[in-house]
Amino acid sequence: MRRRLPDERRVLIVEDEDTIGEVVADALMLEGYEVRRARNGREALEMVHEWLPHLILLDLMMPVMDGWAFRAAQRRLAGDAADVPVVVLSGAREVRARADELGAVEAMSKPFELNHVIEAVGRWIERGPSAAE
Amino acid sequence: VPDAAAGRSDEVRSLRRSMRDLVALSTLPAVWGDFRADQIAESLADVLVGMVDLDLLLVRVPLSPGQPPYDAVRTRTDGPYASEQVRTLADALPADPGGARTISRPDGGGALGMVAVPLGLGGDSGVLVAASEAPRFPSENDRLFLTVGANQAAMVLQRRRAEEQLQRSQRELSDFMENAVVGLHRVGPDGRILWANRAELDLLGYTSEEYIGRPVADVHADPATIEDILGRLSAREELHNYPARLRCKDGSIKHVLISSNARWEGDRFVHTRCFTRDVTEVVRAEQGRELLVRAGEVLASSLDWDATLDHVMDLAMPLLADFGFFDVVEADGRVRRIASAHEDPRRQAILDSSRWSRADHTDLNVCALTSGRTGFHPDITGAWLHAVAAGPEHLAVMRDLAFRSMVTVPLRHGERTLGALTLFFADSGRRHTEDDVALSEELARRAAMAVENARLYGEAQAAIRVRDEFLSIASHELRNPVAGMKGAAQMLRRADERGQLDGARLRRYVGMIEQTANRLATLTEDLLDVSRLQQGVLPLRPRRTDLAALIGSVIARFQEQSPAHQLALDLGCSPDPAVVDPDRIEQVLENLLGNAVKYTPGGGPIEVTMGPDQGGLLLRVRDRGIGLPEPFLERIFEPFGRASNAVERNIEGLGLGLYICRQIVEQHGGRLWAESDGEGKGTTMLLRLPASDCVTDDAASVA
Repeated sequence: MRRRLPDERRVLIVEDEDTIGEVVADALMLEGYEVRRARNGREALEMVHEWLPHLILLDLMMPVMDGWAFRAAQRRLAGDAADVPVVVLSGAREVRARADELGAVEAMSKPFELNHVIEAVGRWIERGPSAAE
Repeated sequence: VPDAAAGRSDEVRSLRRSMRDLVALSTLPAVWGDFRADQIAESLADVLVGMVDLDLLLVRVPLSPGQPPYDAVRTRTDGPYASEQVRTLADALPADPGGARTISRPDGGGALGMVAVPLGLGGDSGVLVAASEAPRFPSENDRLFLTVGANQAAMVLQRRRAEEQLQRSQRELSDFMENAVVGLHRVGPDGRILWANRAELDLLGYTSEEYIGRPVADVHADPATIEDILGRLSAREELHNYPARLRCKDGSIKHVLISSNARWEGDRFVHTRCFTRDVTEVVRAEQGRELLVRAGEVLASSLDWDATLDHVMDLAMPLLADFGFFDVVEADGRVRRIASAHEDPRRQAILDSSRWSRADHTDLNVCALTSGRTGFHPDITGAWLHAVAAGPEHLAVMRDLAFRSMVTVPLRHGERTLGALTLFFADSGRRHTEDDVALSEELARRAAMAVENARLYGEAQAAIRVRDEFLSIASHELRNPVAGMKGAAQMLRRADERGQLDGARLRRYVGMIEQTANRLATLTEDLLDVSRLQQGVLPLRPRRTDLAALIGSVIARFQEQSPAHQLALDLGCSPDPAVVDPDRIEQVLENLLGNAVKYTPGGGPIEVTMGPDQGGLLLRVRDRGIGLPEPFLERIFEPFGRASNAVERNIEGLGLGLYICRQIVEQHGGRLWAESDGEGKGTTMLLRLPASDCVTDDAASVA
């Protein structure tokens, strides 16, 4: 079940619900990913400047800066940060339609299966622009 | 011979006299020229007694119908006949008094010859009775004179009567024409009005002098119509009930049906005769009905009432107004002018920009708005404008608009005045009528219904939006902990399957699940409370409660849980037991103290004071925590309303607690609000409860 992964396998989790953030981060770390967490869009934007992830797991409804605002700001970022693929994890309704609006590569609605999240991360880390390097 | 000569000479004299008398009789009609019937009778009697040797003469002529006939009576003064006897005699005459007869003298002194001559055919113009004691009365001569005299009188009287009849019928015809309820006029070949009757003058408001001689095209509102009418008439067509619109002297419009034909003498056009029937009321009633129907359609078709009332105003013009507007009372009591309409863009701008304030106006022109009564001013004068003007500027505006007639009707729903519809006639010169007022009121009634419907619809829409937003937030708030819990459970299994489940990880995830479950439980309770509050079914069970003791116990509990905070209670007095629902008030107190602790993250003093206030109780919970930015002082009492600084600091909370607390307090008849000097400067929550006796069963149950 273990696959070969690129040397740097960075995942940024943007999620205000601590339980979810902690569970997903723990699971991905056990899979060998390097994981960081942000509690809202603003924290995430600050983070990607110095720590460029290969994938972003993004919640939508968050305080301070929500998922939509983050995505809009991310796309305006200079360099590779603008192209980091985004998987949306949200409890919002019609999550797929919203993910399409945001140009996310995949959407998962809460509550989700932990396995599916881990599989999705593996899939997109291999395929994503950063993985091609 | 001398005798014979004398006899001949007598005969000649007598003949000459007879000739002279006959000539005199024949000239009588000329003499009688403009005599009345009674004067004719007297004159004839005078003439005849001078010509015939009579003891008694009666000339009886009819006067006007209904009056007794007139008797001219002559009697020889030395005879036995008094005038009364003569009349009795005349009355007693047989119906056809043609022949001569003899009657006895009333005094028994011998016989009188008597003759009766009818005046006119069958005596329809009277009768003449003559009697004499002369031995050969009536002689041929006597008969001749009496008959000629009677015929002359009859001739004059009959002609007179015929003339009178003619005059009367002419007068009747002219009266009929003059006073007919339909308008009548004649137009000459030059297109000018030759004659018009009273009804037509009244219809259009002209005097005869103003109207006669005017080109008929002047009074037609539609030039094409009169052109067509005149064209058809000169083609010898007859018109029946041809619809047209006439312009009155005062500018108002009358709807008429015209029936007309032309009189020709050979090829010469003499004049047209024209019957004008006023159907204005019928037409206006139809137009009014049509207006109401179309307005009803417009009002029912949309819930955007600005646009709808705009459309209704367009329909009302020009039937009810040259210009007008709707004023609508907003929720905050202010008046907003919408849907004003004026053909002239400059004046339209004046209408739109004019500001309305109750204080500025007299009740005269804004009574519909202020007291819900109709105002009807069909004859506006300069003095009236002065009286209602709010100031020189307002006066100038009203003068500029130059309105002469105004109707203002309220838009009412039940006892509430939603607004007013105000309609003006200005440049058209028209005046509003009672019918216009009734129609305006009906229009306003329908508009009010539509405005009320739109308002209810707006409220329903807002409620639905609030509900949807609430559901959306609530579902998010529910899904997050569920997702976390599920993730934690799956993580436990996953770690276990891989042999990575050490004690630390186990404890961490179990703690996480427990904490999340607690949060879900609280959230579920809160959502239930909110749901019950929104349906108005959160029942209170008020009891006499020792508030001081209740507060003391809640404070003690919190102090135990939060050693980093210093909770202090200051009772300004020892309050009487209050009648409240102790469980719900405890829930409020727990929430307020819980917030004070939560939003003072590093610990610090929390002061609780309670004292009498305005006959009730005032409780303050003051902390020195993160404080409240001003925009959130009220926002935090809305469902899911949270202050930005609390969110930024990641302080847990759903934003339902204070919403629920305020509802509970308000059900107790009290008030709950927040004060803060701003971010970082602490927060004070204030709770005022009314005096206990204010908390009645009524206040305690939620309707």
